[in-house]
Amino acid sequence: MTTQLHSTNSISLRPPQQVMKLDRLGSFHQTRLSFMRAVMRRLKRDNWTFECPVWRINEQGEGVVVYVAKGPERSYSMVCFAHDLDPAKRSDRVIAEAWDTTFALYDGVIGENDIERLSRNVPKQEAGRCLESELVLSRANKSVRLFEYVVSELAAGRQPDQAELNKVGYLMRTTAVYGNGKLGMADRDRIANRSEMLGPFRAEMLAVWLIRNFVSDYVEQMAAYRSPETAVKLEPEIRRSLGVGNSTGLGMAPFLVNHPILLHSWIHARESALARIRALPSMTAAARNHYEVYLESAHLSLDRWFTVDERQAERVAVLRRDLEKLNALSLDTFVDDDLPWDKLYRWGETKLSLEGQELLVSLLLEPHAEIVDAYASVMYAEENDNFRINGSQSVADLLVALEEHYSWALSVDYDKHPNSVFFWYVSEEKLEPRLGSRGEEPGDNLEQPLSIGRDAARLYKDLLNAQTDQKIGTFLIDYPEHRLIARRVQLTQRYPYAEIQDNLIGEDLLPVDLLRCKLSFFGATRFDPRSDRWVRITMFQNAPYPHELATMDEDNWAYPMDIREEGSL
Amino acid sequence: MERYSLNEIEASARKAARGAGMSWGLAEEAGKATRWLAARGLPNVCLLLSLLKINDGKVYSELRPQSLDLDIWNTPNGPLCPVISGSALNDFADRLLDGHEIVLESVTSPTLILPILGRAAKAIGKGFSVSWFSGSGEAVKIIIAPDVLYLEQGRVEDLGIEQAERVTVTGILSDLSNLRAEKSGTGTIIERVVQGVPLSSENWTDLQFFAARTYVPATEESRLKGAGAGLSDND
Repeated sequence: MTTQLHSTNSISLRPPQQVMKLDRLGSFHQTRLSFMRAVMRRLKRDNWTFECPVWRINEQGEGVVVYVAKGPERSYSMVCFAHDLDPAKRSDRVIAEAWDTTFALYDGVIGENDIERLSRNVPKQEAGRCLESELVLSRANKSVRLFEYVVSELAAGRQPDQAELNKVGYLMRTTAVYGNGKLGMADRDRIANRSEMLGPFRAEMLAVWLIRNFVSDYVEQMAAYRSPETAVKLEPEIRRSLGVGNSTGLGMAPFLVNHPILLHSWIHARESALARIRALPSMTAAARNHYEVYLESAHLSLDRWFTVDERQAERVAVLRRDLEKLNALSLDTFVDDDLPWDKLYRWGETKLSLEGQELLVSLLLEPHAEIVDAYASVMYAEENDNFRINGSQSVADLLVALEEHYSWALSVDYDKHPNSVFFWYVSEEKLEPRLGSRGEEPGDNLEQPLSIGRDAARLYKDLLNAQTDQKIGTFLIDYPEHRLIARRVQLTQRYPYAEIQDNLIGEDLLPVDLLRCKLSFFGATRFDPRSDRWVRITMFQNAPYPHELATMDEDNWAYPMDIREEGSL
Repeated sequence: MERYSLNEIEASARKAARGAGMSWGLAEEAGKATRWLAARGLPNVCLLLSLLKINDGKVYSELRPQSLDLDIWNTPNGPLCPVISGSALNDFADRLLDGHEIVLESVTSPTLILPILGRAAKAIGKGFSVSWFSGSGEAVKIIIAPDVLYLEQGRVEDLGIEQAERVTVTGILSDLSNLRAEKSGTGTIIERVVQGVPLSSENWTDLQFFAARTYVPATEESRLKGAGAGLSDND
């Protein structure tokens, strides 16, 4: 199967050599296709209901809570354990050993025996074991000051100050969300064919959304324990402004490289949707109105995007100027064009920063649910079915493929130290991916195969010395070290967005770009890098809670509306 | 016995194969092959461990087929590696389907060839047959169709064999789409099962022993720099 880079009409998809650059991937924002939003649409469409059959939290804040999400065919149980954590043990590194709260998503309606089993394992996280009845394992720590502030305000009968909440955006921050077979849990194969799980990370997103629900219920409970006479609950709007945080480091970085077909399917869906909108012959009044409302809302998002990272703060400042340019632009000048959205997009390419261009992509997708949303269900991939190498391909053909798809890699001199300054390795202590400095730290003899550009260049060099009519099968018997990269080159011929077209071991690498790209597909907002290899984000901010889903719009939450000022859609 | 997910088995098998000296590309094949067998309830990690223990310390040239021009493959001395030979058989699928029969003179853990050919069968829509004689002289014959694995002769236990002489591989040009129906009642159709895979603690420990060779010990500097995260979360 060859992926077409042309949509059904006149606009081509943006080429991989433009899209697959790390600085652009690292500028992506959430869209209608983001997994959080796709999950919410699905739950709403199928009338899922939610119950809390178990609530056992004591005055110290310890105990267990179970939420059951019930759909048309199946139910899932979110089991939440709350602990009284010594502050000295509170770390948001993945290597921590104790947390304020720990969670497991259980496949079905859980009984007391399994709650008991999980209570012996889930609080230990990596040091415990799960069974194939568990789908997701996670943990979260309090945002200590804000949590205490909210408890004390609610206990005193007051609502917390919205501006204080906006500075952080959440009361708890997850530090890992594990799924797909980790620690004995179910492999994705077990759930992949379920309609509610079609698409990537559906179980994980459901779990995070229910964690957010737990945190808000929990803070209200703690306030009630502190002062039963005076305590109040959060007002619904203030409550909804609380998302759930996440802190992510290098552990996530190799994912996109290790799942090339999945990466292709995500990017291809997004690019296809964009191309179809650019090809629309007219700009309807309704779509234009939606676009303008979301543009206004994007300003509000920026007002709530706090970061301590200098680079990101500068980018947010530039993005603010980009939004002002977009605001100043009159769409009247585009309406009569043959391809009005395309003209707007192309205007953005010449006038906006990468952050601004990619935010414009999100804004263009937003008013076009009828075109965009169907792509959410094709953003998965069966990596195993595409694993086979075609040994019949000739050396000449593989050389052509390398020249076509890897020219970005072939022009780099990897013998120059800055071009191969980093090496990726797995740490013995924590079994997590890490980045080392070649020549300064030991371990580059144990390098992980993430040096795609350099490996492609090495393959190219050895292919040039082979007979052009030799088959790849015989070539690879002589060069087993090229087997992995040869497979990727063959894949990229069929899946052109499979490869990030940048040097992943060069001095300019910013691993945080890899994290940002993946997290944008999740639907994360408020990217707050804490270094070039670690980022904090917010998820599900402003989304309805489970008990609100039936009566609220499930999909207009991703752009904050200040209802008192802007009105709603 | 502890139960492990297919993902855990694949990831550990891949690392272990790399730790025992395979290239990353071959280690990927070994990881996927082990997973494929585990998903069908067949001997899995134990076969890989037999292989890694025999291969350990040997260089690639001792384990690969010396010459691919002939239809009999062998090494200068000692058994072939099923991951290398299986990968080569995949790469040479055209030759097998042209009517060539390829004989592997001596192979460690020959069952590890089946997943690689299974994936090839699925990708190209053709089948393969693999046969050998078990230690007790009984014939073992497996038909690999695009969507089914059929043990035509022999028992599932025979697939746990650590070494076989004269493993014969042929391509099957005839239509295999009705194999499941045709063969029901004779031989053994091996079905895919998705569930936790039981492994002995000894097997798991041995797998981690090889996998650990791919890890880099921590230093104080790497603890601070490598992950990039801060130490405290009290804000």
